[in-house]
Amino acid sequence: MATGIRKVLSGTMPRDIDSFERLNVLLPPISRKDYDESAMSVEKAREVLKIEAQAIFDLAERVGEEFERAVSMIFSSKGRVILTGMGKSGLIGRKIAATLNSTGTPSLFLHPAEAIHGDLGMVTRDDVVIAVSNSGYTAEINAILPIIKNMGTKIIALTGGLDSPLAGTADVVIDVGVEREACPMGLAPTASTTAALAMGDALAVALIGRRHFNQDDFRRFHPGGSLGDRLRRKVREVMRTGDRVPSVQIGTPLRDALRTINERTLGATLVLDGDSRLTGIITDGDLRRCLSKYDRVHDLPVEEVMTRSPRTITEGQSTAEAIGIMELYSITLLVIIDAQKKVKGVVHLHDLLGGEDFRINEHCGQNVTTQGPDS
Amino acid sequence: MNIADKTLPPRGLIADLVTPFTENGALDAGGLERLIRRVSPYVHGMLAAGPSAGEGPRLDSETRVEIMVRALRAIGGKVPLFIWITGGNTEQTFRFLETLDQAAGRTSRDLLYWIDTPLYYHSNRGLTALYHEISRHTERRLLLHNDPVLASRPNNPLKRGNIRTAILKELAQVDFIEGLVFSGSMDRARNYQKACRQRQGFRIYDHNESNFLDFPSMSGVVSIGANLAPSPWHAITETSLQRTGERTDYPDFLHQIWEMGRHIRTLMEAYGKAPVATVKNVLHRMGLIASPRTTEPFNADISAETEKILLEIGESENH
Repeated sequence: MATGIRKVLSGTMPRDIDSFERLNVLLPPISRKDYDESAMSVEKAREVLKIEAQAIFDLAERVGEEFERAVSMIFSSKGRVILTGMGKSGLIGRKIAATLNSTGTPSLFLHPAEAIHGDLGMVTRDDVVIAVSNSGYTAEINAILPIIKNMGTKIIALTGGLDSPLAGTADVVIDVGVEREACPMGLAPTASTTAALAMGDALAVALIGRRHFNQDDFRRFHPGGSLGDRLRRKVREVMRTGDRVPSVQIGTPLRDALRTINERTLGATLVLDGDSRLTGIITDGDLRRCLSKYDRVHDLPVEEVMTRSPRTITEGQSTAEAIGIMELYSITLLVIIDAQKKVKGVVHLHDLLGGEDFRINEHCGQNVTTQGPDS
Repeated sequence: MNIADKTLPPRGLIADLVTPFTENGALDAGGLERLIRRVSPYVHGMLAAGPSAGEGPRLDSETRVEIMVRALRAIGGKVPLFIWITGGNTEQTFRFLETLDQAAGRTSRDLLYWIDTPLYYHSNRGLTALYHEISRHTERRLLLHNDPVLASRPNNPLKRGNIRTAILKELAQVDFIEGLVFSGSMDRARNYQKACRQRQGFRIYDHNESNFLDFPSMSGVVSIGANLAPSPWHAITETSLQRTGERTDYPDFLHQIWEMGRHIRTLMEAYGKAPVATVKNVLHRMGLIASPRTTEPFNADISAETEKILLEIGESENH
């Protein structure tokens, strides 16, 4: 409450006279010094934010040829991108590595001090090293760079020290220098780390464009979110139903079953009896075995070829269980049946792991349309 | 040319040297040399005959030349020297420049820069043309100086005290202008920074020590306090420019920086009322310069401030 009043007095909030008068009765008087200090804090905060925003604006003006060279270097590299930096720059390096990993550029962080004690072994000739140091004089970094350079590994410097030893060693120097820091006496880098962080984001995003990285790629690299979400769902929410379930009736010639398999693109078709109960499944493996056994296969009835008693699951079971069964039996398709063995749907491994867009069923329990022998 | 291949003006602590005089008003050459030797190990550059600490506006051409020659000799090529070339009007500025340029002879252009305060004698109108003209008279590079207080001297007919931002944007594209020594508000500092952002390596030094301590410019600071406490100012500048790296091996490093910051602020507070006279008084008491004499008579009592600074410096040196 007291803070609220101070904010009112320092002019940072619209002043509500009534509430102010009421609160003033309840609270001890606030000294002039408090008002001044509160106003000063807000002024300082504004100054800090303006300085940091300015630092990023300045980068936008300066980014150019060297940046493009860095993107090309990373894009054409056969290895990984290795970030390195000490202290706050190290933390920025870690974040850039994480961003690159999330956006399809294999990346890891190398602590310069650990590098000296053996971790340098993780760097290969094919990698690209990005060294982050605002001054370019960080001793720990400059100690390892000649060794990295000697290996033939390319080095990109994110630095404000364009005449520094780091800049002198690097193959590409991206200027992330700032004109002014927002923290007194350099007690902690502020605007400079913000600038380096923003430039790291710029590199990652530029690489996304270069790699044509798309939504599915992004999903693949973020299993913690989407996969976790999928594994908490029930099978009924992800199973394919209705026309999306490939099925034929008993007695159907294999020729027609093949057409169904091709059209539904799951690499298999179910075989149902007249009451839509599951009697078997024909998979690519069944077809290969059939071809090696018979000379003429097209007119064979499906029951000659199918695997009887395919693996099944019920719609109330979890997707995690479905994956467990698939792993156990090395299969990629499960049939969902009810208590009467009637088919409710199918689920493919891709539906669970994101091989295609993950669609949550809006119409659970649709009937399965079967393709009969006459169709 | 790649920016990394070019020698740029130094980043860091630039000592804004006071100009010492003898009792009879002549240049105290010995004092100047002692002062330079004292600050030399700690600075990245020195400003001599400067507009404020150096009392430049009241120095004639011969004195400026003598200061430059003696300073260059005392510095011995260790760090660059900045010399203020501004005169009371355009013609005088050109005369100063010509005389100084001749006297500088073959001194390396990386070791000697000119500093000019254009608004002291010229309006914003036509400034770019003026500097193109100046560049034809010297091979050396130049730093601008913006100081609205200095520009608002008595009898100055010019209305504005600051270089207009749009003009600075043009000036920053003039090749031989390599930086700006800035005094003024933080808002103006940011606008100037925006105006110069397209010129890579363009230096913007803080001439306001307090601004530098709060929000340090990454080019550095031009400091009168460096005359008194070069070592603490050096330490603060180095950490502000993040050239010390992460001192994880030095557990009380941040504490020491806080302490030095406090020490410097105490000194600033003490000499803040009359910087040149107070600093000279202290340097005289320390036995570095022959007299505390300034170019204009100074009669105010600054003995308490002097004692406070001597005590503070003594304490600092004892630590």
